[in-house]
Amino acid sequence: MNYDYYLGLLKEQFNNRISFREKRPGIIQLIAPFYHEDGDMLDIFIQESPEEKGKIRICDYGMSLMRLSYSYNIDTPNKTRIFQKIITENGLNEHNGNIYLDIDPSLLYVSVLQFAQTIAKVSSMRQFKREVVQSLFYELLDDFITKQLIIYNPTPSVQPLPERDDLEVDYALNVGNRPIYIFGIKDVPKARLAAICCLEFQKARIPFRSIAIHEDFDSLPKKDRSRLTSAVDKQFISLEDFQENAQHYLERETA
Amino acid sequence: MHKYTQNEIDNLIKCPKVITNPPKRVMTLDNGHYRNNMELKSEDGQHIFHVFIRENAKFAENFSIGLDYLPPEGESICLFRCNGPHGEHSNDLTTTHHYACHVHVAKDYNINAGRKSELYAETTASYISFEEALLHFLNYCNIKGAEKYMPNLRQLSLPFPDKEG
Repeated sequence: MNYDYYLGLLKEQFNNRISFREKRPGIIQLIAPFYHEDGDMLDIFIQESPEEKGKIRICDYGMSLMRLSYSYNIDTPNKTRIFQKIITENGLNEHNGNIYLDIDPSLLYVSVLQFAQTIAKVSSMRQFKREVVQSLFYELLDDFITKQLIIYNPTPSVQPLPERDDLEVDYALNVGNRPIYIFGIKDVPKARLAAICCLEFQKARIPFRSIAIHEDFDSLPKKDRSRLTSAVDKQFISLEDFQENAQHYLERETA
Repeated sequence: MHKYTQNEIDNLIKCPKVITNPPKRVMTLDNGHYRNNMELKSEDGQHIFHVFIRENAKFAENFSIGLDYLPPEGESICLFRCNGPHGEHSNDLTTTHHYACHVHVAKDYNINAGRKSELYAETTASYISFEEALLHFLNYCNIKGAEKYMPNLRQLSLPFPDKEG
């Protein structure tokens, strides 16, 4: 294989905006204007394929997953599934962290673009971080309640005590004589507010039932869990738990 | 959203810190890189930090040692990162700079504009290897008592940390 010819051709196809650096004998690092959000260039290496004679390998020697691991780890089956899906759907392979693609030399230009695009997708997995995704908790809860529980006439932002506008319920399900008040619990302040609301409503002798839906029950301090457990009638430990069991629970409650 | 000042960021980087969850004695191999982590808090107990330590298994010069600040609310912020000469860098995503050991430093104008906190980087002559970078990082970020968990820290002629895998 005329290796230098294809590298020269690649440079020409990029209008001479790229260059090459010999990282190790036989391993060329591509210097091209593809950047991560932190300003570092994408790590792209080119070498002859060690597995398929006559082919060129484009790879990253594990640099993309190493970089991702600064802030996000692929450490669960679900995360692994998503990662593998990105790799497979984009026609790439992965072995021991090394993302690679063996290609016919004539396809080098388009394959470099395809590789860079896939690396960008893998890098964007950090957006799945809990602190980023958890901001979606209330949106997902709202979506579920307003669409899936519509038969219970959900009303958002209800203030059962007119003189206390600081005691607000996220949703009231208007069923029978005793409405069901729903509180989404994302963090400690909200857990405390929900507990105070329920205790004040009980003190005012309002007829109601209450549900707390946690973003992550285990992340609450023990005292807050105890306080809330004492104050509300029913808790769902996660949004998934609520989505899975809400219908059945509400059917029993309203029967 | 909280607006950071450079003075605030610099104070977070330089404030004395103690280790609350120490690194493993041996770096572990995972997905093509060696890794270790540790958790810190400021000596006054006001702030929490996370440290990540990474070294590529194939290219020893491709390493990264970073300090993340974990604010009470919101996402973690990378304040400081020591890198080897893994490749080029651009501070404004248009012009290319340096192929050398470099440090990423959080800048207020990047954080407050919603960009990656550590977008800014500059070359450094403070280290030329992973071991030297680790020592520089610990000193620069004012991390106390690391030698207790990293006994080879003062012996830069020896490989540190040990590796498995």
